[in-house]
Amino acid sequence: MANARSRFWSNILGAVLTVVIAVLANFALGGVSLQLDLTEDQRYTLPDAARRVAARLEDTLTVTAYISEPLPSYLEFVPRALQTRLEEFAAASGGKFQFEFRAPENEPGLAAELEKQTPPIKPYPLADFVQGRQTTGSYYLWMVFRYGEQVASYHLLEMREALAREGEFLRLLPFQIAAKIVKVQNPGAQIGIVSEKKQPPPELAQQLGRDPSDGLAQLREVIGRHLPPPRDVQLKHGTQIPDDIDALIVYKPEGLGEAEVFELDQFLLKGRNVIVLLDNFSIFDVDRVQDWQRGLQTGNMNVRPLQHGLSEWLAHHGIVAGPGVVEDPAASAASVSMNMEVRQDPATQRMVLAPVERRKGLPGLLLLAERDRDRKSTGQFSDASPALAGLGRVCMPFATPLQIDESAIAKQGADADGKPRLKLETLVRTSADAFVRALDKDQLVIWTDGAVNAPDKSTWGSRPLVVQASGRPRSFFLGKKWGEDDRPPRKGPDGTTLPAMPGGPARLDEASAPGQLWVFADSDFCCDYTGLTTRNLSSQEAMAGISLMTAGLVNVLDGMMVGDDLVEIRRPNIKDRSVNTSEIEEVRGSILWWVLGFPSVLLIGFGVVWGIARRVATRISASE
Amino acid sequence: MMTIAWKELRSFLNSPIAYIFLIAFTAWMAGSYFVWGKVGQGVTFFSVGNTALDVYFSLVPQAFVLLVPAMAMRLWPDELKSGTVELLLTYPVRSWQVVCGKFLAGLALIAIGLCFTLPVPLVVSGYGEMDWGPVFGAYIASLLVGGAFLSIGLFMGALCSEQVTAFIVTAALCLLLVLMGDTLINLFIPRELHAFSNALSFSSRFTYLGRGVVDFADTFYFTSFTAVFLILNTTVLETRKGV
Repeated sequence: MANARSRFWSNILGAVLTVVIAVLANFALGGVSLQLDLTEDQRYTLPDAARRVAARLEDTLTVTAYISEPLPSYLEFVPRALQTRLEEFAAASGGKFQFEFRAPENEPGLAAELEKQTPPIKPYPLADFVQGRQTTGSYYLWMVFRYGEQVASYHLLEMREALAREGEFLRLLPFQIAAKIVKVQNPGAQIGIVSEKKQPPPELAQQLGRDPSDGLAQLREVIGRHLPPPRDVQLKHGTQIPDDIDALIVYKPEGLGEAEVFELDQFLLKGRNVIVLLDNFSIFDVDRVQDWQRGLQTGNMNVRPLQHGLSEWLAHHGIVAGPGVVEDPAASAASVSMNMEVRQDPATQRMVLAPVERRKGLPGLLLLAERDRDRKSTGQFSDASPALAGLGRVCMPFATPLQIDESAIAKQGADADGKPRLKLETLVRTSADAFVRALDKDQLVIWTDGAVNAPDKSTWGSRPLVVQASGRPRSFFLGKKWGEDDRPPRKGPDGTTLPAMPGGPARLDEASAPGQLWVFADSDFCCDYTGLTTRNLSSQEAMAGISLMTAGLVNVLDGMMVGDDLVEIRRPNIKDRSVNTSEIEEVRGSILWWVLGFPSVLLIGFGVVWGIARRVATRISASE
Repeated sequence: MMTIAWKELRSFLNSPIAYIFLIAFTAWMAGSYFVWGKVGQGVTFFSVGNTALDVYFSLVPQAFVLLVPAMAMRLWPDELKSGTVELLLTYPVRSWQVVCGKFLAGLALIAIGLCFTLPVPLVVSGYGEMDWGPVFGAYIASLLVGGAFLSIGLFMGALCSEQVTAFIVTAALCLLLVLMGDTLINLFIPRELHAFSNALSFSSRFTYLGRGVVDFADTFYFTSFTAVFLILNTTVLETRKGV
């Protein structure tokens, strides 16, 4: 009896010890950061490109994470997740990347000190629930990067809804951290924008604001997140492009004369980069009231023809820009939310009012996908640049007809090393069934059904939409001579000759360093107001495509300014894993059979076979 | 041990309860994601618009809260009621071998159940670019959660001689483990308990594994949790032997 009792107590003791050991082991091993990332693109592991960014640090970079303690319940994971990522950066940097966490609420005087910084580090009011009651508190969610004299700050709330989702947060964080490292490492990287700001009429003040605008506020903001904010550059009347500009975006060029083209040419020959966002006409102008919403719905638009003045200069680089607009009937249909319709909700079986999604031809829009419905490559995105391949699908409205003229490569000849001076690459193109529709005066008529009134089929063919010319080209102005300063005369708005710019640099007849010239066949995709327009078209697909095209432009800029590392880090984040909702609706019955009916039938079949086998086995054993 | 496991699995497959369990599991999972939508969210495959199956696999712990205790409830109480447990313990096998045998049989049935969900990722991959990493991670997580629930069910079954009691207590415990650490639940409990609740949470660890990230700490947590309950189960048997 005593033996049984002692065994009982030793069993109980053993059980208690087991629990204690398990708790202690979990506590001790809980902090072990050992992970196996099974995702195809390793999106929860610090990308190699991010490691390279950290490894390139030449001096100590300090990150101070000002994170409140405690945070709202739905953000409790943030410090741990942030620490994991920062540790990975620190490990990759070889000791050059250091970080610390500080909670301003726990350090007297720190909050006041932070508020004096530029920009000020302030807490942000956030709602929370504490034991079922709603409360509002102020929370710090900042990271400040210090690298020598350079300081950059990042407010985690910029991630918006992704901040509240741990997976999204972990996935996006490497890019945000790497982008700030790049920013403080490259304080001199400067992008310039050539654009025209116009005053919106009073009727549009509510929609477009009251200040003169070029519609590029969002693009400036996106670039400014990881590079110094872009600067406005004046090109009109042959003003010289400042020497500290590394890349120049020429947005919707209009009326450029010889003197302006000369400045662009010289800028490119210095080994700098030029991105031209080209249009043959303006469908939307900030300074005039126009019924562009209805125009986009009906395909009949009043447009303002533009003379960009770059045709000959671009042709010199092998890029021929023609008149009219590119249409690709195969690429103009998008899913559009149509009118509301009363139908049965499958979840509740009740009749509800719900929007109907239909595929509809959207006149003038080109929706290009990297893969077709069978997941095969469409061949419309080239892998030559990581900036655009991998975007999945893009949307370009009202594209300018471009052609590649390979003969320009021969005309440019070879450089001192015997290599061709010019290299041409088409990064994005239409399908082979694209054609050019001509402008009829200032009226652009595009049919919802692309085939209507289309030109002869013999003129159809694939059209480049994004083209890159790179290398060390010769000057477009080679052999041309002017007066005293050997530059084309500058003209004023009224055509009068302006005095020559004093003390200009020596004129270049050929490139002193390799540069890049990019031409996008449209300027509207990155304009803030295009977003407004496509929102009115109710097509998520078109809106997403337009923002992806802008992402592509930013990728191109990143590649020019800081190499392709940032593009590579971001690439897995934009991989297209969407399904075509219209397509799956069509085969709903078949899908339901395979996921619901088939397993059940299989199980019942298995049960029947098992039962028969058991009976047979029982009979055999009984007969034996 | 394998003999016991095979015997238990055969006895499962001979009884209609296994088929009810498997059909109910696959039908509820597929129905929730493809027909009526996840409870509280109304999200279906037809509305989500991409190939990510995180919503689908997030239904697994919820399904297991009822189905695994239902399956586990007959593993011990039947033997306790009929008295075959005493007979079983007289065989030249150790108590832990009996416990592990029963556990492996239950786990095999859970794995069979999960196999019948395979048509879902296979079908979805036909309509978009599928990342198989998270799918694989979700299956590992499902097995780990299923194993942990099963170990609780076995332990409770050994403690209670009534099937219904074992089922209710196990289901309640499993539900608690699923709810703990949930952001919504955290809103209603004192802040001081959040760390404790998050540390014990099954949901957050399942979600993490289901993203395709096999974390050592999470895997260790599930396996140690299962091991503890299997050891406790063995202790109960040993104690019964002694009595």
